[in-house]
Amino acid sequence: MARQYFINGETMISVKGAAGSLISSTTQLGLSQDAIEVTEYYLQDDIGVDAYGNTGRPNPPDMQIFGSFAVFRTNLVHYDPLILQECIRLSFGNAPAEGQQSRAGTLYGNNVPLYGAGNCYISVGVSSPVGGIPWTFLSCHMAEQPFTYPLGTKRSVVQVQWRAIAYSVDPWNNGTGSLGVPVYTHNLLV
Amino acid sequence: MARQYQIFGEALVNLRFGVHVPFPPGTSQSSPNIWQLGLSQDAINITVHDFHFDVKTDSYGPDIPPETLCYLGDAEIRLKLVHYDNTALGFWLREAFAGGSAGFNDAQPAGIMPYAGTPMGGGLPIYASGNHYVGLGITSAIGYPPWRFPSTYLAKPPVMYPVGTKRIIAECSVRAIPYTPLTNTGGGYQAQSFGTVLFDHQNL
Repeated sequence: MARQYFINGETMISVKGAAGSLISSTTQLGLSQDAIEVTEYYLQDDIGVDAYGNTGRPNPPDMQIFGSFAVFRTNLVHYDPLILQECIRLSFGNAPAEGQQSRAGTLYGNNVPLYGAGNCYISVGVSSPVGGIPWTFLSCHMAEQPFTYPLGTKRSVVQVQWRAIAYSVDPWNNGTGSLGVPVYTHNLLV
Repeated sequence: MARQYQIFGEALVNLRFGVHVPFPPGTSQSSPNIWQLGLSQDAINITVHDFHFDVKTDSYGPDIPPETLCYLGDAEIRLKLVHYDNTALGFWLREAFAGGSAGFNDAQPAGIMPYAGTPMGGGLPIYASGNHYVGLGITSAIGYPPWRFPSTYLAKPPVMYPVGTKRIIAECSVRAIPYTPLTNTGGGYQAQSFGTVLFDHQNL
């Protein structure tokens, strides 16, 4: 691909969740007020060797990587509030209704594949109509401060913070562990 | 093997029971009784203990021996199970107490006591019916040489279970010894340690 200015374009956010939920098929959530900022976190560990001077400050001759996760924020300005409520409900561990709690200690994946009944993860798709490089985060949940909902006479711009992990039903994966398990892809969410 | 960083990789823990313990569902009783136990939360710690006896002589003074005698060794393995088969762990705990009062192919759970003083091996070949030692295998997903301890039992303390809403991480302490059945060398039955395996790097 040639070097150029990259413009993602008008970005639609879509979501898909568990069978039996309101978002069991890919559903539009809405549009963001401004850019959606994606931050990837790498989990890396330095290998300290005395021959390199292992004084406690990093001077590693090599490192190991132990996976990653992503955090992204969407400031929703033109959105379907019912779909947003369903995302909130699922992100609270598949609670009976938005605003209610789930059982303490509920597993998000619950030993079920993505989109299976009982799996709380939400796939979030970020379209790229101009740039042509969409982002799909396969196993997300609202995180930290999941949302900030301003209520008043001005239009509510809901600030939603998402976290995407590399979910696996079986972390052993026939001996491959986390190899090939996606945090995100550049395929459209379907 | 050239000098390099040693990385074991993703470690899977397997157990091999005596044939008196129920076999995993769907497996033939003509094959080894191997259960897949599961995955550890973090590194599995293996500590090998040695036992040496100092032979003192006055000419060397009271503290330092000119010679020591090797009196074998045992091993201690600590693991924190996070994604595991609770049935397999239950059988391992039951066998740690010499099988409780379970009979052949009995799915009796852990927590039942045996006769006080029951021998764990009972002079039987390893993995034979009635031998309560359990083989422990730690397999590397990236081809690093595995660890195999043919005769282990949960011990000191066997298991610590935090019970609550968070996922249970079962902290297991394991003792491995170089078990040998009694052999008759013509002068009566005796236990000979020569060649007995405490651990090796074979598959379970």
